[in-house]
Amino acid sequence: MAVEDHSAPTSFVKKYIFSQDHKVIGLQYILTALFMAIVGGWLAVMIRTQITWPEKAMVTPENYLSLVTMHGTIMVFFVVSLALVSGLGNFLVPLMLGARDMAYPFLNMLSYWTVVPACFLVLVSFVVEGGAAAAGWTAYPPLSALPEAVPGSGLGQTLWLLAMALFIASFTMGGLNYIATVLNCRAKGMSLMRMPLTVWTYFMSAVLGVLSFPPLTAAAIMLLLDRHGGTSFFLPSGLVFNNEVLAHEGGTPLLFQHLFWFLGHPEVYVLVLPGIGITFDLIASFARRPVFGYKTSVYALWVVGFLSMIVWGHHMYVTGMNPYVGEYFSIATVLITAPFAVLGMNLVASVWRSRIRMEVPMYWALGTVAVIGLGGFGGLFLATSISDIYFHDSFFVVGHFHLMIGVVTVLSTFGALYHWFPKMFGRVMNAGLGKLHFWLTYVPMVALFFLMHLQGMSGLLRRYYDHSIYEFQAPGRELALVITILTYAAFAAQAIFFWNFFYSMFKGVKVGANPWNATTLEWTAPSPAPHGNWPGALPVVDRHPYDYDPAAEEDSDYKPQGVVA
Amino acid sequence: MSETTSHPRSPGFGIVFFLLGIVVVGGFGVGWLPEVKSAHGHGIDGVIRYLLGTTGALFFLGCIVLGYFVMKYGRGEAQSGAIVSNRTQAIWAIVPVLVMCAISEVGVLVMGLPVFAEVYGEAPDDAYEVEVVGKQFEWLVRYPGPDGVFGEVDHAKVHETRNPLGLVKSDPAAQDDIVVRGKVHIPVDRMTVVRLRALDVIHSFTVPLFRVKQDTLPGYTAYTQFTPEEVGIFELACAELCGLGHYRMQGSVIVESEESLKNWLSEQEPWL
Amino acid sequence: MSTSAIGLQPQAGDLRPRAGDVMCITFLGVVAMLFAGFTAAYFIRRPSPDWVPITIPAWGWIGTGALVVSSTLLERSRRRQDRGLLWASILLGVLFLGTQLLSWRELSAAGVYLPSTPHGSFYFMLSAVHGVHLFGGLLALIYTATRRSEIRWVAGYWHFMGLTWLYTLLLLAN
Repeated sequence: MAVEDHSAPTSFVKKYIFSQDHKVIGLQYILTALFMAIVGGWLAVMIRTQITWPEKAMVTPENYLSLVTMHGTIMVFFVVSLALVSGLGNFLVPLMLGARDMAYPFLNMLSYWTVVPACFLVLVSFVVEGGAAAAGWTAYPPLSALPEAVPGSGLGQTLWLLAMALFIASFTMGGLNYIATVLNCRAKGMSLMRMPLTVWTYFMSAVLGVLSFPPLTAAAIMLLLDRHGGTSFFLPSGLVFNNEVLAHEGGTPLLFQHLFWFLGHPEVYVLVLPGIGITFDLIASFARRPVFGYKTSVYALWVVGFLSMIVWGHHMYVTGMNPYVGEYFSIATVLITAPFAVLGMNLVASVWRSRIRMEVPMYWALGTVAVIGLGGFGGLFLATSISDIYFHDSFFVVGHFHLMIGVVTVLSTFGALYHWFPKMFGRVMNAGLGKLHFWLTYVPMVALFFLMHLQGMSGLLRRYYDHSIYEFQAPGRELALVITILTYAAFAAQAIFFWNFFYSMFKGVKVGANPWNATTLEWTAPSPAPHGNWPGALPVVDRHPYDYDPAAEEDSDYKPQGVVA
Repeated sequence: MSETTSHPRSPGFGIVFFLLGIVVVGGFGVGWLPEVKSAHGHGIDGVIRYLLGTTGALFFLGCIVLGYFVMKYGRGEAQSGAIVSNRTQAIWAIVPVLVMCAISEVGVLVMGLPVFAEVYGEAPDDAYEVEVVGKQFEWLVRYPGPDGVFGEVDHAKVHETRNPLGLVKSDPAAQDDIVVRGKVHIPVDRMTVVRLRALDVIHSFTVPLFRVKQDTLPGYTAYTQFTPEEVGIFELACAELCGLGHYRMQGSVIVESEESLKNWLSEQEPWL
Repeated sequence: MSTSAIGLQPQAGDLRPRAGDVMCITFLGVVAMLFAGFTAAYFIRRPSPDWVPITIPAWGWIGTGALVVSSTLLERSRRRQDRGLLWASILLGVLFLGTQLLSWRELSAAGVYLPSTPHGSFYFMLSAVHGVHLFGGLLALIYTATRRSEIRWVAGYWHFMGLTWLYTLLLLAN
């Protein structure tokens, strides 16, 4: 099963269904994620509708909590993780490294077919007794442990935990494969410090993923035992429901939160870092100049990765954790702004003294840079333990994390799809529709999550079925209608993308191997790239990945990172 | 694709960033924070304003620079001098590191620590003490009664209507305890220490105008302290998802003068 | 081209770790982090007043002996290319799983069931989690023995499983 040779498949099933080709698997992930995105997006639409017109009671409180929980779960684990990390990562990493495939093609296939049943379980959980899980995507016990506490903590929560277990297994297989591929399958001459930043970020993301998911697995096992085995890992003594004391004794609910956020925080970087890496590559390709501060960016990535593993407690400032421990987490967390500022600075400086070609992917890339700034600075308000007392569990948090793991990741995913579409299908997507899609996605999404920050400043609390009975939440509610309309707009605009994507797949304008005159190795392979990526010999790398020169003639302003002998 | 003019240019795109900077800074500048009504709350608002000022300025600056770059370099002119030395790149990494470390640690340490001491420091001996217990879906408030001591509770004795907190009859300290649903009566201009417990799941004791938020964990006693500065009725809400009625777990904090508080307390019957 | 095999091996002359080594070490890291998560939970849970220590079952220690011998035989079989010793090592692995079941019976005979005491819960849970991982190693060993494929990484995993059990037992016993 180790690094072995595999032949090009001939049957339909082996070619498109149980394929071991990283490009097909990448597309399978992306298509699965696009389907789940429609589900997750629809849940968001329903959530917004309910909290904007609570008096209409469009859904019941039970259903509302399931909507909130499953929207978060689906978007984080089954949309962004699958599309950006597993999907685009699978497609890009071997191609950018000049490799024939991932290090372990069979494991790669297994990892995809492990996540499919997870998606199925998530969808099925909506129609089981008690409804889907309703304890939030964070699944804090005791709420998530006891069906007495909320109906969704019955069978729905069990299916949620099983789906998460399958997802973690799949994601770990994928992460191991990325690490082995990056360390082992680079083309000749492709030293680590010559890898495109996209590959660097996928590598860091994989390292963080494989190190931080196992403790969540431990937490999930203990939660399952508390739910079904009568143990008391997380359940304390004296829990009272319906005038009855439960038999559980001595557990600590905070323990679950520690284990959850030990994953939960690095998970943010697992998702965001590839988005940043892709943005670097898109900017370099269309600004026609080398990335500013390649080395400092790589170092910054390592610092971000390290710091992200030791700051999980900033999600728990007001949970009853010792405040001095919280203060440590605060001091450490705000340090992350330093390496992040380096990344942001380098992104902006990569446009300095450039010669921008405003192709569609560049819209998305430049748009992402501003969102990284807005979302990043917003994080400081939450990382500082004192201001977090006010902002914790308010809409400020909702706005902030949506900007980072929602907007940055989604924008960069779209940018990447427009950019690498030719390598997938040998055709380009329609540019006019691409720009329309950009404006109708970017403006509403950034505006609505920015407005959520303001709602949070005014005191609006999250996960509320109905804010209207509170006087202090009235100012925040005034913005609700605008936000909801923007949500509808952003959701509807995706129809343009779906049309463009599937239409261009068959009817788009055909292009050659390197339509953008870009430097990285994937553009030396034919479009679409065949099985094995390069029909003949593999490219040999002789320079850094971004050899652009904005001073040269427009047609000869770049030198590919490698040449195919 | 060989003609220079065939590449799309759009220097006007830079305006997006100017607009974004103006809208974001202007939006936050409107002043969304509700007026604070507690002593330590001024400190919290101070940290928030400090962060708004510093990060707002940096974000605005970043938007201007990015917008300017897009407008200037988006016209398609050849540019020389794009390739700079490692040294320059390193310097431009050190600058943001120093700036961000300074801004963020000033927020946490210089601005934050004094407030931290107010929020988590030792409460004075004359602090007023009250217990608030979260349960699905209401706040139970217990006053220690004339003896000033909270009596023993036993969750096995909890009954929603007969004995909501499970007070133990045999404990003399429990016999004068007063239990009220949803109303927290406290004195003005004197520190209140709230003992926080929960009966079933995690709740979060939140009084937004006091800038107070503290989770109540079952099986654990947490404390939060604050000094209200104004007489009045303030809304109490739950900030941690606790089940179907999370959104209607409303309570109120009634801040009154020492005298009227004393009168109110003396009118209350002990629960047992 | 369409049916011909494509070489996935990196080109010669390039120094880089073997993919199997990377895979094996990273996967050991994953398992280590899993047990680190449980260790953290153990130390956070232990100070609770309801913590009643249990006696570590004797079968747990006997099983440890089986794993040590199994690892030794595995190493010897690697050195001597002796498949008989490899099968002996596999047999000891199966025996270990048997001793684990006996240790559970020993606990339940003493009145300790999964929910009875947190210490007991940890024993049952950790031995089960370890057992599942060890079972995976066992399957890999059998695969290696029948297919005569490279044993290097499977052996590494097997030794690591032995160490993990020793660690778990010492953690639970202190």
